[in-house]
Amino acid sequence: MLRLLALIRGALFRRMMYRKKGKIQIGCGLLLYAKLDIRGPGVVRIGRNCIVRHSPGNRFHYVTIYTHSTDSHIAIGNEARFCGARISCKYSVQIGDHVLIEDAGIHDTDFHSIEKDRGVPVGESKESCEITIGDRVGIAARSIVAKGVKIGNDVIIGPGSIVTRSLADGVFALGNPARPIPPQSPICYDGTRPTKSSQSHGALP
Amino acid sequence: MPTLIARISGVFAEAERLFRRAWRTLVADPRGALRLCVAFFRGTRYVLQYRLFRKDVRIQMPFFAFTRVRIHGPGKVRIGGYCFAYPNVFEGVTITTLSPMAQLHIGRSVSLGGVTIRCWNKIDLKDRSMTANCLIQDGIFVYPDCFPLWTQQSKRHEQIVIEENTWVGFSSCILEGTHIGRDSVIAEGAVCFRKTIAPYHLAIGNPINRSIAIDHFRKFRGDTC
Repeated sequence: MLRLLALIRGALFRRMMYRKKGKIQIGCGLLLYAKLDIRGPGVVRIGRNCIVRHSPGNRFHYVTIYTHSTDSHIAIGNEARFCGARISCKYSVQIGDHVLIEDAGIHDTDFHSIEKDRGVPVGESKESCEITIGDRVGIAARSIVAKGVKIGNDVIIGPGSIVTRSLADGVFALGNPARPIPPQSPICYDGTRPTKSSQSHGALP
Repeated sequence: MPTLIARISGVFAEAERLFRRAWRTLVADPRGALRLCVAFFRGTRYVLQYRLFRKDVRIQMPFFAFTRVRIHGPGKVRIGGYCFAYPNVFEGVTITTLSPMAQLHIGRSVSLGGVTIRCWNKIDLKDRSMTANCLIQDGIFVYPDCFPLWTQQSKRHEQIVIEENTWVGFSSCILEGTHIGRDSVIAEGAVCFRKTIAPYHLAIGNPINRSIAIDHFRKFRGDTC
């Protein structure tokens, strides 16, 4: 029943987006369980069978997809699932198929410069700032993907991590900055040397 | 008989002490006392609401809700007496259980300040612990179906235990497989993932890479007390 309602809501949303003259293209089978907010002058393309939800328990954390210039281009693949994701794009954000993004932020610009006037950030270009996210990637809650990051296929990004460097295929990354850690514990956060001290701190009671 | 008299007089003395303390608080800060009363009634409303309409949610009676408390999901939630729910950065307390097997136990006199709890398996928050605006979540993802590739990593919903009298700092994440010892402190912005933190330690870092014994820390700073 809920699924049917979500399907109808998604179809209506797609219908509404036809008015934007091809700027926003959404594939068929969109399931809208919560509000989806698409704003801005850029191009947004979303693939087939996507699912949009709010973050669990709090329907004010809905999904926002904002574009900040006419050149900006967001492409999202098929069967993506969003739970309260926030995407804002000035240059380009490319997201692959079968992606799960929970209440994380993806921003491909700094919005302001570090000069005192806080104007347009200097030294940003499309090549250096575009974000590419591969297929079957999971980005967990409260993490941030910064500009110029390339994430490979089959990557999991743990909760609360800040991704500022590119990640290879099939890693599990965590922390600030997000570094790949070996799967299945032993918990070794620097990824290279599993020492005893990195596994547990102090003696157990 | 004398023991009975002594016990009764002890109870009276205790009641008098409590009454004096309440009176002093009322005189010193009447507005605060009023807000406490409002919070008590609001909390009572939540207690009644969940007792009437939700079988799995049990909140013990003195519950002080200074903000909105949302409890969703099919799992079991137990909240002990004298718990306080405070707002923190506009966020109310959000508790979500994500599976029917989920068990969330919150002990007595826990202060929940804008905390977000998402429970797959089992979370224990024991007595007198304090939580700021943080995320307590067992399991990496909250979305129900993950892909076969992720099962090894993301379906290991290990238990979280937060022992008595701990303090979890602002904007930190407590993730699966965490055991926080008695009286220890999690610093602001720390992310705790499959870690064991010994009692009375201060843990720092995202992810946590250091934890300092607080006795040692105080010695280092030159505190004498």
